[in-house]
Amino acid sequence: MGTTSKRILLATAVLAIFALLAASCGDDDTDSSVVVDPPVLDTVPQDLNQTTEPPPEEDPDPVDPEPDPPDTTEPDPPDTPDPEPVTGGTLVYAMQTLPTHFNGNIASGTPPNTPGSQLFASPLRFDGEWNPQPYLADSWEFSDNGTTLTLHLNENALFHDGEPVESHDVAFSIRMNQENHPFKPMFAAVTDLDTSDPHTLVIKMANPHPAILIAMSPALLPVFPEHVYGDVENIRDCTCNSTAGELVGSGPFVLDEFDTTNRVIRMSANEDFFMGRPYVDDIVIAVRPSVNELITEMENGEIHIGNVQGVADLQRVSNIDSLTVTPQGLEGIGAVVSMQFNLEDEVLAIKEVRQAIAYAIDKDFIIDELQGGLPFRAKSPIHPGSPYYDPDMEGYEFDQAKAAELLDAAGFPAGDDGKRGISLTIDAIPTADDYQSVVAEYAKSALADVGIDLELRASPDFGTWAGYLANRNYDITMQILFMWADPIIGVHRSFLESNIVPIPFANNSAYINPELEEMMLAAGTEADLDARAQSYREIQAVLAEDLPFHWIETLPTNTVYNTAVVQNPPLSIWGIMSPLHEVWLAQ
Amino acid sequence: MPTVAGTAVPKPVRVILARTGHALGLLVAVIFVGFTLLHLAPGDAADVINSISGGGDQEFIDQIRRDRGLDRPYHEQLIDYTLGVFTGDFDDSYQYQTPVRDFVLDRLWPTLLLTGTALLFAVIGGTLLGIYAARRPTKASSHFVTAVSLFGFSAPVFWTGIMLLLIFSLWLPILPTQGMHSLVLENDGWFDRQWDTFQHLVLPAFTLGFLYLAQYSRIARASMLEVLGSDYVRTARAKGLRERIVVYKHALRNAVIPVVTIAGLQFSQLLSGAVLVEVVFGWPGMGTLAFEAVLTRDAPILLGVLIVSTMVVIVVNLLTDLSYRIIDPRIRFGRT
Repeated sequence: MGTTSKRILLATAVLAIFALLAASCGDDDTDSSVVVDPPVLDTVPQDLNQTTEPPPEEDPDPVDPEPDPPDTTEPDPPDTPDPEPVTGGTLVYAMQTLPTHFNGNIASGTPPNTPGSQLFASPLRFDGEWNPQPYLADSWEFSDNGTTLTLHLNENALFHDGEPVESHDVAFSIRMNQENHPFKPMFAAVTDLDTSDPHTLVIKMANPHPAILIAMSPALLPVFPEHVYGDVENIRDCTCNSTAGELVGSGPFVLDEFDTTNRVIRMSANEDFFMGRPYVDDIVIAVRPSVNELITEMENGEIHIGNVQGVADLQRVSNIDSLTVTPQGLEGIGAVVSMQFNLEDEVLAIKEVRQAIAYAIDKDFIIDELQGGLPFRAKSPIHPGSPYYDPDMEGYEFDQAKAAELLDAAGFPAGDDGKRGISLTIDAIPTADDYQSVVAEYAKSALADVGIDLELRASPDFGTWAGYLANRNYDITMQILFMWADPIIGVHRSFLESNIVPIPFANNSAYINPELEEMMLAAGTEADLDARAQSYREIQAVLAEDLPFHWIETLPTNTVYNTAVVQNPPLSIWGIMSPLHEVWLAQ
Repeated sequence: MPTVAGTAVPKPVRVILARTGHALGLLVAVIFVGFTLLHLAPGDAADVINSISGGGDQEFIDQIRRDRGLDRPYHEQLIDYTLGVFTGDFDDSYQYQTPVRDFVLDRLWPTLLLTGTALLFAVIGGTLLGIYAARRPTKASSHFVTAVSLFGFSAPVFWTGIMLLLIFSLWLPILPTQGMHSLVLENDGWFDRQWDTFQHLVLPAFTLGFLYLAQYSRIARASMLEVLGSDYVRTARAKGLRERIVVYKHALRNAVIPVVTIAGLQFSQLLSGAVLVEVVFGWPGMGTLAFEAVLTRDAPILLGVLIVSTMVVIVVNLLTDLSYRIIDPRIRFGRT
């Protein structure tokens, strides 16, 4: 009798443990099984992939005709007609990487700019449709020939120490940017800065340079006080770029604490902000490298806004009722996923081979099957959200017969076993698997179908991969390039002969085309925006023909926010990297 | 033991000196191996800094290499680095360009707090569970302890962590999810902050401790069973001592020695286990620091964490050695 009862007890105990486990897993499981019925379409307008229109202009409608309650994605703040903004509360949002500084004049990227855009104002800001809006500059105008830009600065703008923001401060910031920022094309054309009137800055340029407007976004040209930073000898190493008490900004929030141990940045509202005191009292930026835990914290309301990329992660957040997911916000960065070719390889140097590879890859399969329909289709280095993107251009539609034909013509006929004697390696950036190694794996099997052997080479970390790229020690690599608002900043660099240098994200394909360079030079300095757009269409056509890269899709940098709490969420092209003084919290 | 040259030096001091000598050798070896491996890996600070800033020119890259002395021969860099470590200079982080020492020291306390709490929990909890099971070796409750132990031992620590997070932070939102402090703290008094930290500590320390709790309870149970059957325990019982005194005063002292041995030996494993737990719970310790350094290829930080962890392990082993001598009079200095 003793042993029987013992066994029963033991069995019950074990069962109890498993039941507990099952309960905890089960919670998760039911969540993911819901995925099947009302798919991601609810929150992410998937059909954008099929259309050729840029995302911001698209209507979030379809598939589901019945009007949905406020928690779906609408381009506008998804709340009732006229909610009265409420002052107060602490806005908490997340970023992935701990920044090293907050100075957008020495480098741009989500780490420095996410806090930096709250601490520093800039001459202009941009809405969700790529239109410049007044910020420190109330108004601005180009001269007729496009070589002079005059900014009329707001006379009430003050730095955090109470000093007024004047034209010499903006000029000082432009010079700091010219000397330190790796994106040289932003202000390289600027030859002279006239600051004779404290509230008018006259910028003279060597040639027309329309991209200068977007280069004056908060992420690219934060305005620093000359009277504080003017004497700093080496601005790159200055603790004044990130230390509370030393940093003096011009933006809607004031830095209270940068805690690198707990990876938290705290700011409070700038009471004297010239556009009106921010609605929220405080901002807390939490660094969350792990998306899994970020989502948990967003679900239980500890964090209000975050950006999510991974396929499974996006599907998980789409199923959390309290959160809204939108592809808007951060189009300005314009990340495009591509396959980059090293043209120094004797096989890849043949254009027909590159084109054949492009035809052999099924983008629809990648986007719809591998990535849940989240990315938008890309056909050129210009992000489909940009006004310079050419939606009508020919992509490389999946066509294996065409690929085989091109390979035959290039002198690589298929042998008896179907192989063509081409053997290549492919690399992938190790930090974005869903959009890198997964695509590379697919490419391996897709190219095997047309007789090309592709071997995947893994890199243990980002630096290793960047080293391969910089030294052109690769055949094909998966790539993610950021356009940074204007093609002149993030697109030209990949195709200039002078930029064939052992540095990552330069011209690492060793692509040389003097004619294209002339076209790019002309487009970059074209003052008429319609003519400029036309020039970029022609440039995209040349690139699509030459194919130094095979552009596949955008990198989804979806903004996720707590629907009930965050009102007037930041959905402009710079998303969370734009000033957040108009965001308010419903509590 | 023959006393030759060392008669003037008392035994405990000699033991400690010898240990320190070993420790220094070990430390130099760790520096050499760590530095060499990281040096051999392709890509350097210049690539890292450049890729962070989204691409710069050759001049910028050369400048970084010159500034950081990366253009010098390998042996010079190694010697400089080793000498630096012994003077407390662990070089600068590639990414943040600030001294690694500050980073690692900032993160040392949270890691010690986490591993220390987990270790205490595992040793005390494990021993008590072991004793409990040993006193009723055939009862169902003893089997229950065994089942829990085996479960804790076999579940991967990150899985346990995520499950506990889901249960206690999301499902029953009673404990915080990430970090060591709340992002927004309503009351900011001293006591509020300690309580806040404690709440944040519960899940990670339990997760990390649970793994070892299992092992220690098994060891304590086995060793207790053995001790309870020995002659001196029978004598103690025979002279009429109460069972509680027999177990907790007489038997425990001997039974706990294997637990302490294993706990000391396993401290290095506890540190590596802490890496995963810290990452899951966003605990701002050396584990997350190392993890991020790996991802961003910040070799000086990685090396700094490695060296400081080595030091911690060395110190803990020394303490373990000393603690035997306290627990077990038979291995006091001079009597070995």
